[in-house]
Amino acid sequence: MFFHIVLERNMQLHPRHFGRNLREHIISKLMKDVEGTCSGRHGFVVAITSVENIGKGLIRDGTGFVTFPVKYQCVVFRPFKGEILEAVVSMVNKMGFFAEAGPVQIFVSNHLIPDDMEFQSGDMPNYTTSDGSVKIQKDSEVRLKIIGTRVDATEIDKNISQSRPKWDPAGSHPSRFFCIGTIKDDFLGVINDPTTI
Amino acid sequence: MNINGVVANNKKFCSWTGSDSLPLRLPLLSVSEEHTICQHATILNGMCVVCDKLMDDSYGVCFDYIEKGLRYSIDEISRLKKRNTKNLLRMRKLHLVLDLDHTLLHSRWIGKLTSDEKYLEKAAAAAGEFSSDKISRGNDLFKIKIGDNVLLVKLRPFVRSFLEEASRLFEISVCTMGNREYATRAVKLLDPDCKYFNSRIITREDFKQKERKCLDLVLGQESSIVIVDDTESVWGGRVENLITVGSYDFFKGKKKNDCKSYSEQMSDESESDGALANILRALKAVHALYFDNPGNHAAGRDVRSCLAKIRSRILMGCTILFGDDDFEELPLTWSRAEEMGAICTLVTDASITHVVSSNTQSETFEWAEQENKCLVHPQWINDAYFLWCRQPNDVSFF
Repeated sequence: MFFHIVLERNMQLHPRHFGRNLREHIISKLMKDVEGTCSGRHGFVVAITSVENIGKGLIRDGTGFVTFPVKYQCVVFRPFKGEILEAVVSMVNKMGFFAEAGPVQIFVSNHLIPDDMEFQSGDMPNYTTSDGSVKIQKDSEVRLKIIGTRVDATEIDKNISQSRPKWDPAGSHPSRFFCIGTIKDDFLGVINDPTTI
Repeated sequence: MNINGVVANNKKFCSWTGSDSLPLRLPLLSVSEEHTICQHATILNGMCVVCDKLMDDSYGVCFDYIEKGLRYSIDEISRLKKRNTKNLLRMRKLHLVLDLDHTLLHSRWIGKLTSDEKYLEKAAAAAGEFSSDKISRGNDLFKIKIGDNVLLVKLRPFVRSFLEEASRLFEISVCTMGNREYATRAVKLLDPDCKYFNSRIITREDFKQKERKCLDLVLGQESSIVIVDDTESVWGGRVENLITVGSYDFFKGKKKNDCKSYSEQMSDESESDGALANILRALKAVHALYFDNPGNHAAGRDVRSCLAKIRSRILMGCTILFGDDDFEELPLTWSRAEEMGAICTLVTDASITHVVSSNTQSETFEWAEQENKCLVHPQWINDAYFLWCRQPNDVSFF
């Protein structure tokens, strides 16, 4: 589900940016650092809509860097248990299928696919009803219900950890959402068949 | 999907469905999860895929090679093994597990080539900067870049036809001691269209016991799995399913001896008569014996007994005298000859058909010449064992 929330972040700025364009530098650095990241608590930050307030800068002892507390509004996306989402199927195998709703990956096991759909292997593996009327294959759109979510702290990419300041508060470590879903309930299943135009 | 039944039993599972007039109360039809207790058969990334319970890392067995983060419970593993084997048997196929190094191919880091093999380095450099680029010599020599180092990979002669024909009779998996990255790259060279192996590549990281391979991770019943590997020791005790194949060494090995490797001589193992062709013949024989034997009751069939039976026919009817009873591999050669159906003895006797000796000066040698018995080198027995057929008697070193 999408949320529009206010978050706060401490931006550390190098003295070379002090000058006329200080505010722009802070905002552009904020966007570069935050947009596209994911935290376990808030989910994925999709976009920053506005900057509410940039507080007074505090000079760090020993270095010339200055810390600005920035309050900003942003749109975040976070999956929840029980939520109903539309997703695009990315891979089908005999255990079930993987679907993606933006940055969130959802796995639907074959136990939670209606019993009248059978797995067909081949070039384009898919799940089909016995009369062939409904088919789930790669790039199909499905409506599914999330029955469980889990946040995985991903293996920290070396490049990312070097560019991130070390005093990042807990809760904004890079992480990834993995969910388990079902299409066995009413009104769930394929929305759009990719083979029909 | 019985709505009435669910209303009676599932009172707490309700949801409001939208409509612009009165909100309707409809039960959620998740009957299966409530009525049957979830077996937690499949776990993905720590979560049970049916009921979302969090399971820790000690539950079940890790099957990362199929899908990263996948674990199956013990019951599910045996159910899957039975089901997969049943499906394959219905298609008249068995399971086949192949090793990579020295069985289907041979690899060598480019920095470790000997001086006689340097011509390959030049050919590799000339082939360009792409990883897994073909170098000349037909289609069998490739180079792959792993990290900063370049690895030369030579496929064994006949390997493509072997895989093509074997895949008609068997579902093939790979079980190798190499790491995952090397294994996936090597398999891509053998099977670029992903026809033979699919995701069935078991590598060093998947084995629980290091330096030991086992069939636990192969989703098939052991009575229908045939293994082809060049080393017996890595499989621990499970050798009844194993067909040992002669080791393929294209590049110069680490042993310092005078004989030149195939690469140094610019030659190769025979295509039509090499190890893989013979193993394919043996595999076809096992397959035929398993499926076409009318005497065999379906439940009692086992590849292990088929293998033993075929092996016991190789030297059937031979009575073998071991001439010098002090060469170091005598016990091994003796047991191999017996496995192949021969009768072995140390006593000279009229029923002897073959005399094994590596010593031309011994008494037994003279006796054999006198009685006109077939004289063979111990290697004759090993050849029969690895090639699965009796070699002509006159191809001995005498």
